[in-house]
Amino acid sequence: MNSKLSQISLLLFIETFAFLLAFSFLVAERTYSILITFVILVLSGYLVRRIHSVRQMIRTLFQQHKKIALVWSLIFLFILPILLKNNPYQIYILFYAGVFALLALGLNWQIGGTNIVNFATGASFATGAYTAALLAKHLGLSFWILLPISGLSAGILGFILGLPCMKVERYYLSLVTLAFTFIVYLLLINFDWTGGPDGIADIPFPKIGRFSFGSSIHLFGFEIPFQANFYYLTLFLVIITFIVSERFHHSKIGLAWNAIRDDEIAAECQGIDVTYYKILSFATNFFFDGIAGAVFAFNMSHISPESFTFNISVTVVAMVIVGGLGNTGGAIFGVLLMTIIPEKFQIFQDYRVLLFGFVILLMLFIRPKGLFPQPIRKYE
Amino acid sequence: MTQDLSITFGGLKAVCDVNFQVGKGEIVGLIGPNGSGKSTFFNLITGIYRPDSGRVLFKGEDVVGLKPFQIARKGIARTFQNNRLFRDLSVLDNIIIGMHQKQEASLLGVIFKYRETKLELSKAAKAAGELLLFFSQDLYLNRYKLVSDLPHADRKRVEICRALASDPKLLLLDEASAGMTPRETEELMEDIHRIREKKEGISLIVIEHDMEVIEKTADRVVVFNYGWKIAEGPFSEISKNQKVVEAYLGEELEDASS
Amino acid sequence: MIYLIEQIYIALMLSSNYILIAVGFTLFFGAINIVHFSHGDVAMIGSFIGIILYTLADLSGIHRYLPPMIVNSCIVVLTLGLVGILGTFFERTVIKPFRFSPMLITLVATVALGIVIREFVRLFYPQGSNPQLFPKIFPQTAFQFGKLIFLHEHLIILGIGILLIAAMFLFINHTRIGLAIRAISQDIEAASLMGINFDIVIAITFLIGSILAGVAGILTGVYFNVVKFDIGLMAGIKGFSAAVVGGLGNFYGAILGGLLLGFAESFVSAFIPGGSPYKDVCAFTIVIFFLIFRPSGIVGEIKYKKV
Repeated sequence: MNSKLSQISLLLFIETFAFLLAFSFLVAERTYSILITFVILVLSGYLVRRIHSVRQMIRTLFQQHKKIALVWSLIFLFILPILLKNNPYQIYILFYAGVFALLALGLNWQIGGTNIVNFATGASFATGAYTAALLAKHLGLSFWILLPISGLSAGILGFILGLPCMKVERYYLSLVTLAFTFIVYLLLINFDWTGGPDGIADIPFPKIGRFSFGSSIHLFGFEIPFQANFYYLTLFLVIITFIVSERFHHSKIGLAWNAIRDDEIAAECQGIDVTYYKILSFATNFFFDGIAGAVFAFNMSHISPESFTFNISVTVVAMVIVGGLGNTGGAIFGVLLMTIIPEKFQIFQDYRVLLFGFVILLMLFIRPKGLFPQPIRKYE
Repeated sequence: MTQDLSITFGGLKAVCDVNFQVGKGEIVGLIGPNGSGKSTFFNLITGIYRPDSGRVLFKGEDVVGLKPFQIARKGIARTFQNNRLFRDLSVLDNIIIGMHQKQEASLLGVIFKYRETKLELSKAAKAAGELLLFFSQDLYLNRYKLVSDLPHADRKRVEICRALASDPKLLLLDEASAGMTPRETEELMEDIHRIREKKEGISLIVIEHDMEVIEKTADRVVVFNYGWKIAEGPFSEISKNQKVVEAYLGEELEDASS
Repeated sequence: MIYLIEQIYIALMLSSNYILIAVGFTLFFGAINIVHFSHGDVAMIGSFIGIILYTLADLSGIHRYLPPMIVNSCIVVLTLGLVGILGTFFERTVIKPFRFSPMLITLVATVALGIVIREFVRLFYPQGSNPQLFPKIFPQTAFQFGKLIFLHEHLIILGIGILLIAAMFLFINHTRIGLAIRAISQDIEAASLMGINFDIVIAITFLIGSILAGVAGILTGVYFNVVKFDIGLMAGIKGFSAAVVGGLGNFYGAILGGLLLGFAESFVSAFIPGGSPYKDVCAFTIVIFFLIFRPSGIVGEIKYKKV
């Protein structure tokens, strides 16, 4: 590996290859093509992990040319909808994964950071979605104003939830979040002003100027289905959340969270205001969940309490655990794993939840820290 | 700036009406049989427990009722008997966390002014590294290792290092030599002396079971038994004190003084 | 007045349900410090096993040879036995491997186990997603006090539940194994040093807890007449809440907590206008309230941190 140029080309080649592989899995239609691409994916992933030299090489390549790797993958992500212009459903799946990514990233720094297992994602997600939906219907506010508002309302909820809970022991705190999710769900079903079990319908599509998200867009001469609008929106939000997550991690906040995770009392004796940081993790996590909720509501046009049950909370927890606690990239990976694969294995559609449970158990047995453990912070 | 700690309280039946003073720059040894309330005493000082009665005066200010992190920020640091390090973090991270209170970054600062945050963190990392180097070159070389991978004595060292990272005025060492070999204990004593040299004006309270450490490092010794302070004075006096000997059943005391 | 008595009766039935499950939670937590999130689903399995056995008995025509009382008693006993074994099986496979892992992992593992159990029933039991009719195992006669009617079948299963709880109580307090269970809940290491094979004792604990959960399952079936694959989730959470409210690890706490929750729920439903849909909310709010302000529960001990 000598010249920089050859290194970069190798890097780009590997990235492209991986990307195309994943892409082919995404668009495969027939059962055998699905299975084949899936097997190839798993095998290559496995081989890369196992064969130390390959793994090292890839790792060094990526580290040395981080910016280029990033830009290249961004390019791919950007042109993705063009490649998928005839598969609107696939674009939708990616959007759906994006929403979950927003949920998972927030939860990742809460569980991975402070080790508080928060089962209230269903509640925070619902808060964002309903806030957006209700304000859109009754006040006619535009989506763009509602986005931060939903985030804020959920964030405030997180703050309210976190405040009295600071003395509660970690284990019991999980139970509180659990009970909270149920309460929110039950209230949503029973209140009239939230639409009861039917939820809220006819939420309009977001607009930029006169361009509605419901219409298809033209990019480089291609006509792309309207789902792409949401895809780009979500992509943008995920990137921002990703950056925020990384910034949290590499800062005194992330360190404080980890300290609290490992030993709360010792953390406090180092001058860390444990209460503040715990509440912070709640509030920030909920904030991003709220934003995800707003995006979700405006895409679905119709929301009902059924989308915000305990199951969602468990699903997101599972994604974070599978991907790796405290590892931002890992969380995204977990999300992709658990949204795209179940979608592709439609034949297992009915068994999906069962498989979820099994996968969680499996992961706990073989890799309780997740596929990608939290990396050690380096400073130079 | 005098640091005058005087504590009078009875709490948890574990510490009874104890009056205790530490002057600036002093090293006070705290000894007593197991269960005599020494660690509880530390917990009371650092705010982990709240005393039933009495005051804890630090630099003239009563800190009773303050939360532990507030007390830590005033300049009291400690180590723990059963070594409470942040297990899943690297050595360096542990020390950096020790400097936590010094860092300025706020929530918004972290999100939006990231370059500054990063700079501040690198500086902290550098300072932490220097502190480690001061203690042991070995540790510095291993600074990215997870603390759970370190041997016992090294972990103790990291804990002391972490406590020092916040530049405290008062350092509480809780049985730092527990589980150490004689050679490691020697190094520990050296470390304590070096701490005193490097950090001017720092006061230490050292809980120990190993009398040799006390003998060689403490200016003054206080003895607890069943939550009561039963004796105070230089080591030579204490080791001959009848009450103290009785409290301990004497073996270690005799060994050290002979 | 009559209405009140009826409501008290309903509350008692509900409470017993919760108590039976709560006792399991308290046992498990006391013994090995875990929260078995899928314990409620074990109860659900109990009711389904009851249905299966009854159907089998029906199909095999065993009624021609034995009087119904014997057949039904056998069904009950068998159900309880099977549930006990299954519950212990779950412990061996899913909980035991994580015995020395952080609590977070066991928590998530039991949540996942619950999911697996529920889905299994939903997918593999015929028409699993729909409510299932619970058979009439017990005589359908009733008491009558003036305008009040008490069904015998309710009283029978209630009686069985009370009997078993009392039996368990005696067992824990007056037998060697019970002593072992108590020892383990105090200090598992010391107990093993004293020669107690805590593995077996833990298994027995789960056996007992699961049997009681089975009773709860049958009780639900008898009282509500229908059971569904997901009743375990709610029941488990409420049972756990009852245990926590009463004081996790304390046996009397489980009873108190169950009573409190059961009565709160049915009274909110009965006496507060428009309260019926909110009865669950009420239960959960009580739990949150306790968790925040008195986490050790009504009769639990306040634990001090050892630093």
